[in-house]
Amino acid sequence: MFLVNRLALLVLVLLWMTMGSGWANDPVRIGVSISLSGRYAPMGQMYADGLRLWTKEQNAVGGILGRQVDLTVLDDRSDPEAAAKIYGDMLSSGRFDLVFGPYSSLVARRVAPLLEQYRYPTLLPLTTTESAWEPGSRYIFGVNTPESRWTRAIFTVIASCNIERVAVLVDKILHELGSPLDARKWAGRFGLNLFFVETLNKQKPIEQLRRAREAGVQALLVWGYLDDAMVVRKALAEVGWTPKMFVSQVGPALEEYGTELGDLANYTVGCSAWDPAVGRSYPGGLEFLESFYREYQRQPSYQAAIGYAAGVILAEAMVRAREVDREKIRDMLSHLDMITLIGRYGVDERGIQIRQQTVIFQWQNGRKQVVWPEPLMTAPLQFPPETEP
Amino acid sequence: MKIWDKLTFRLAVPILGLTALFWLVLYFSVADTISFFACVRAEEDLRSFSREIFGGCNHSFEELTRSGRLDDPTAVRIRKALTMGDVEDYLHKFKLEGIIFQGIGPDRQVLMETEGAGDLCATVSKDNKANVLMSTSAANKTYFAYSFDFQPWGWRILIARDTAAYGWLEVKVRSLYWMSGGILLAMAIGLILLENRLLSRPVNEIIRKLRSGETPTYEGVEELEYLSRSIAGMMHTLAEREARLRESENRYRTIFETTGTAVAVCEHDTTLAMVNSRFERETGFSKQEIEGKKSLRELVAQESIDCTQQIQAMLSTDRDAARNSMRSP
Repeated sequence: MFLVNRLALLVLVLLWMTMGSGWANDPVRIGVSISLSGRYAPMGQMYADGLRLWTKEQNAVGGILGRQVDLTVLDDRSDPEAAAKIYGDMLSSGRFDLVFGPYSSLVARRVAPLLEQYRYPTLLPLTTTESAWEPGSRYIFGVNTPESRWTRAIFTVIASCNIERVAVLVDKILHELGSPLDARKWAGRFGLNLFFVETLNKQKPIEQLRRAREAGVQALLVWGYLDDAMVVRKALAEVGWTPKMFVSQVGPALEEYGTELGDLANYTVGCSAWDPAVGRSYPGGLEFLESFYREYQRQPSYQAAIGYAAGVILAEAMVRAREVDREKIRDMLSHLDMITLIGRYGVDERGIQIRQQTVIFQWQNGRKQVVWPEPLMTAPLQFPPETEP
Repeated sequence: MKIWDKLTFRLAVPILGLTALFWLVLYFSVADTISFFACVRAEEDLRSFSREIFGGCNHSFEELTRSGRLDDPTAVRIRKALTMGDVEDYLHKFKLEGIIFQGIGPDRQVLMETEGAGDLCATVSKDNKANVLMSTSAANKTYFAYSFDFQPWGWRILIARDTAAYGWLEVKVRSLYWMSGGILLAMAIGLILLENRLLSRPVNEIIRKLRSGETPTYEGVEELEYLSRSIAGMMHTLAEREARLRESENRYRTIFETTGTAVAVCEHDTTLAMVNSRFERETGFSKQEIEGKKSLRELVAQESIDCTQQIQAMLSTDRDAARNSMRSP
């Protein structure tokens, strides 16, 4: 009888060890829905590439907590409703341990309530619009600099160029979301005359540009995506107007902006959370640049870098939590303060990123140069020769 | 019987009254103390916030000085704007409201205000003093406000904090007091019930027995048991005396009735109070017709009455002489 009992115990121990090792070998399943097609595809593709590169490199060093990372990337076609359906399925199925947030503030805003509902601690790497964070949000965390910081940075640069009159054209969807946040407030503080803040008429922007030109606007700011930036830049050429400064929020950060517009891209000022030109300023930045180029034979944009950084941040939170426990990971993400290849990660009580800095760059001779802030500057800001007095 | 004449009521009222008074005194004195401490704490906090904000402004100003661009209006404008942004971030981080005024007095100009500070701006008087804690209300909220100057740029910075930030202690103590009030009330009610059980109920039981003519037989509280036994003893003694009296009266009545001669008991005014059967027969009147109605004068000759009155007078003055006089022929 004693021998039978001991044998039974041995079998149980062996069974437990087998199951334990089986669990340990299970991959960490992470899902994400990204705009791989549709309007946001150029930015979404970069974001997906950044995440994939992180997954590959993380698995090469043994994964997270001894488990490989299994990343599933789905395409929401830049459609918030499609993204909501994808996330609804992913979260309700229980097949995914964790998820990353989608591309664009608009899509993230639609998905955020689901993440809160299913209590999935989620990094929203490319969400800048603060309105995505409802009061009382607990499970969503920003990685990118919030929009209000972008406004502040852009208006700082504009004001430092002795520009007095500014006009802002805003993407329709972003305008409905309340962007650009605090534009009037910052214009007032910098003593700038804000001629208008209007929704961009993408079909016929010429009328808006003519009005701005006739009003003596010196700086034209486009608050939108790659297509918005290109439409307006082409329209400026069409009306033959070269403002002293043409700024576009997201689009010029992508290489496509330069390749598509050629010389027209020059002097365009863009805003970014990161740029390859400052890649070596942060630990791991140079390695990321090299491995990204090796993997995809092209330069990464900030969307790719942020995607990669989001993976690094999540991995760190999981390691600190010591297990794939979503509540523990949530606590880690809310208190984490770390340096990644794009800068510092740290969120406020709502989960909005507050430690990441913004960089302003300018297309100069077919290349992007960082022109602000001064310590990271790779070239001084230039103005189109025809605007010089 | 009226309620306020009840023993329970008379005992309960002072208990409840004193309890309530004690509680009220405690409540108001402690609430007042807490309110005072909240003010002191608010002032300390706001002074501390002010020092940090001042430090931030100062740092910003010194950076501008070091850059050698103090006389560059654009650089100054940008530096001021960024400093305002930093102050705004700081206020937001610590859930404070704030306003930066350019200058003081009626011509002051609002340079920056936090989202909730719009109403506050209207309520803060234009001549508010710097470095003094004040309390002000705006948009159904009460704020502790404190203002200080950053003179290099001519700024007066007002920071305000919702008093609710300090109200938690007051709320906690208030709830503690409501709780202690409840406990005191429960204790008072318990005391009343105890008093009712140990005092009023036994007393009422004794009274009930006495009212129904029974002997109280209470057992329990020593003092009341003693009282009950004493009353019972007194009642017993009275009953015995009454029985003896009744027996004596019966004996007297028997003698009175069977004496063999007509006997009447006469009052001082000669009214006949009591007569025996022989007296009835000899006079021809019934007891009902005689007792208390007829006078001795109506039935007896005047000489007998005079003699009787003399004896009566002697009895009232000198009983022995009267006795001797009655024995003598």
